[in-house]
Amino acid sequence: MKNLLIIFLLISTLFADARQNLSPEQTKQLVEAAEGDAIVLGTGEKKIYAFVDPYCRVSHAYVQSLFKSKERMFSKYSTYLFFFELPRKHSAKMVSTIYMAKDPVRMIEEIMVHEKKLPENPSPETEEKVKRIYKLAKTIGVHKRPYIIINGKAY
Amino acid sequence: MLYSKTIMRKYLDLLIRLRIFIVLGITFLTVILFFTMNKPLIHDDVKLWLEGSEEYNRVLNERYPQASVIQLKMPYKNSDQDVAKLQKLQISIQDNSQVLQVVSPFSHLNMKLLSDDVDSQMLKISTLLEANPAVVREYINNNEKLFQFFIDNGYMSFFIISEEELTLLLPNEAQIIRSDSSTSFFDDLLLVSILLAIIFLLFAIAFKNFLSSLMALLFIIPTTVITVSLFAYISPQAHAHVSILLIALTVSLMDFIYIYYKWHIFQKVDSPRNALYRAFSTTLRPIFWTSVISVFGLGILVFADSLLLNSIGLNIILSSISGFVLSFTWLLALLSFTRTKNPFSVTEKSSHYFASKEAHFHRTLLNGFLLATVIAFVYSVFLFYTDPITVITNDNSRVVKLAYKSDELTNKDLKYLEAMHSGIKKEFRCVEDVKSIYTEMKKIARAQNLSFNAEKVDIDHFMFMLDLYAKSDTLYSKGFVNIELFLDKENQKKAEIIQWLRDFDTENKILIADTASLLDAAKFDSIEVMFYVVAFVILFITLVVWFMTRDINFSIIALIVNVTPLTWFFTFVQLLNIPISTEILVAMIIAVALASDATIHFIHHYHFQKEPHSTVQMALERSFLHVGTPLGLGNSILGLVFLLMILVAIKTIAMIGLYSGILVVLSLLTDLFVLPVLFIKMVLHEKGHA
Repeated sequence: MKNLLIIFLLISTLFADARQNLSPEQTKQLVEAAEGDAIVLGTGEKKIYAFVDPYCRVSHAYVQSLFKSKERMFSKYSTYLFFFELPRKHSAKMVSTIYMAKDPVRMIEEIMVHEKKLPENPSPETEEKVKRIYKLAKTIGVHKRPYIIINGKAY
Repeated sequence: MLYSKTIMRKYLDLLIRLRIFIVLGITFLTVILFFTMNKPLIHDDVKLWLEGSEEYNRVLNERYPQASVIQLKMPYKNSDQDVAKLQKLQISIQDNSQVLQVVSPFSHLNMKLLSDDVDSQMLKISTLLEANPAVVREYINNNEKLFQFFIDNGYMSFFIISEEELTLLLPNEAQIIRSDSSTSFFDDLLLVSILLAIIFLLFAIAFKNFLSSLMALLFIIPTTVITVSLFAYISPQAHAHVSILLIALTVSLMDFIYIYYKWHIFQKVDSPRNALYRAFSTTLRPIFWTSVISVFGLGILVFADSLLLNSIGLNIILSSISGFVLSFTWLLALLSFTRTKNPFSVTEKSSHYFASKEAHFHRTLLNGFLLATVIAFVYSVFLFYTDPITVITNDNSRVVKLAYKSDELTNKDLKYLEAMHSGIKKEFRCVEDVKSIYTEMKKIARAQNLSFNAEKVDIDHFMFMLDLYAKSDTLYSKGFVNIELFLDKENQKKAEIIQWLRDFDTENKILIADTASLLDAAKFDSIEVMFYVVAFVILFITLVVWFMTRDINFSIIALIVNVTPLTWFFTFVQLLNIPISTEILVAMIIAVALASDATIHFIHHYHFQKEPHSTVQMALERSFLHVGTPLGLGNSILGLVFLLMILVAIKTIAMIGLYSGILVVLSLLTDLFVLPVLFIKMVLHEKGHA
């Protein structure tokens, strides 16, 4: 069964966009299934999925833009943020800290919008979640941050 | 019954018995109405043009905010300091709550790849307003073609789009280009005073006495005051256009001159009382019929889809009625108080001269002229239907703002916009650029190396990018895609562009959203209406003449005489590519009103002439003396008054003056040189005069 799934994914890759491993429909299915592992910004009708790194400068710019147009972006869109470490940024501990925060949205704002250096306070409790996001990212083909998915298509 | 001699005599006797009451009553009424007239006339015709027009109604129905576009020009010396200063200026203008949008080089969307490394990248959309002045200057210099619309001859242009009339605090060196004109009651009073002074002088010269001048003013003033006041009471809008004053003046002056001249000339052979009766009895019928033509012919404009045309129509009805009523009450009562000693006939010698010349006219000359007129007429009609007539457009308005209705932007909408963009750019070279969400989406796709197929692209992606950088509002908001067309400096084809858009927009989704362009659309629509009204009036005159005379020859003469000046005028307008304007339309109305006066008076004179003439020359002499003279005097005075109005500083008035003056002169030439020979050819020869 597992082999069949791998073959299916490989065939799908041939028809998918060069920058993503899966077709938009498959990508959409996967990210929708993983919504529980994301931190959601906003309550809008349109769903946006994004893989970001808390220490990545460009991810910061993206989140800053979201907060800058907060009124519109949080009412029109629900942005599902998957925190996924860029190896060169060594942000795994901060990813864990954010996931463990009582108010993760506030923490994201502090770190990525106001660019504050907060103490890292990782917890083993987040290991499973981080692993699931890692697996999801690898399956989809996340190769950069921010990796934004709209209607299953990556940009 | 109306023309019964006994009744006319009884009416005049009664009028003379009551003349003191009539004079006092009308004087009192005029004074009261004059002092209650405290609103200035409109010289800027924007409001009147727009209200009732089809495109404007669409904007109102869709509740789309109608915008006005102002061009602001600032000195620009290609330095970082200048860029920084102008960026600050744009920010301060945008802070004004009345401003919807500022279009300038700084509002240009700049796509830039934000990158930390290959694994950390994202497209950033910003405007040049947010960028560093040095970067902006370099960007502008490297993309000269892109910004040539805005930067020209050391000036940078900002197009400020606002919902209301703007009040901006700007630096001293700022040049604001907009089309508005303000005027006061004092300006109108000054204009009227100048016109009356000219009329006074010209009458004094023509009749060699001041009585004629005084009588002219005493008649024109109450007629005009009553017309304008009645208009203000009846018409729903608060202000009346200045053309109303000029039309009222024309109609009343022509009514006056026929009665006064006849009264004046009959005193040569009769008592003042009898002269008054003869003037009354010989002018009642033609003035009645000219009033009928004005009321039912030109008055049809009250049904047009434009408040301005409605106003002109209503004004013609009112001035014709008040002119008719006052002619046979107030004017007769006034004339009964006075007499002319040694009445002077200004045209006795010239009537003889012209009559002798025209009695022996060359048929080939007349036929040649008529043939040339027919060719000019066919050419005008051909051009009218094949080559769109240029409508005068606001030279200052180089940005056309459009709105495309779409509750939720779809690929079908994008396809529609794509067709519109490519169509308009292909059709009109003067369209330098078109900007809308479609063009900006294409730019994003290019920056992201994505292919762009309007029918397939993921609109959500582009909307998200534009929303993320707060750039979507100026492009798409409240269910409308905002579109801007940028026209070159010689934007002569703006009206045609608007017409093309309306033809293209079969789904009725595109709104014309800025005042200047709405105005152009309204004018464009009105031109067709005006042409049909003029054609209707000419046919109506022809019918009325047939009804009066039951002679087809008279009807044909009326048709030729009315069509000829208009045909030549329009041939020149089209040959010289003069754009159509309100001023030309008003001039047309004045010309038709005058031409109908001339025709009816001439025809009345010939048809109801009881004494048989021994020769063609005598018949012509009499007609020149009795009809040609007041006609010539009236048209000359009006022509001069109109042409002198060119000196008035208000552009609308000056242009009405110029065009009306030209048309009056053309009309006069036709009446003096074509009409009499047509009578000789078609009527007198048939009746067997020698």
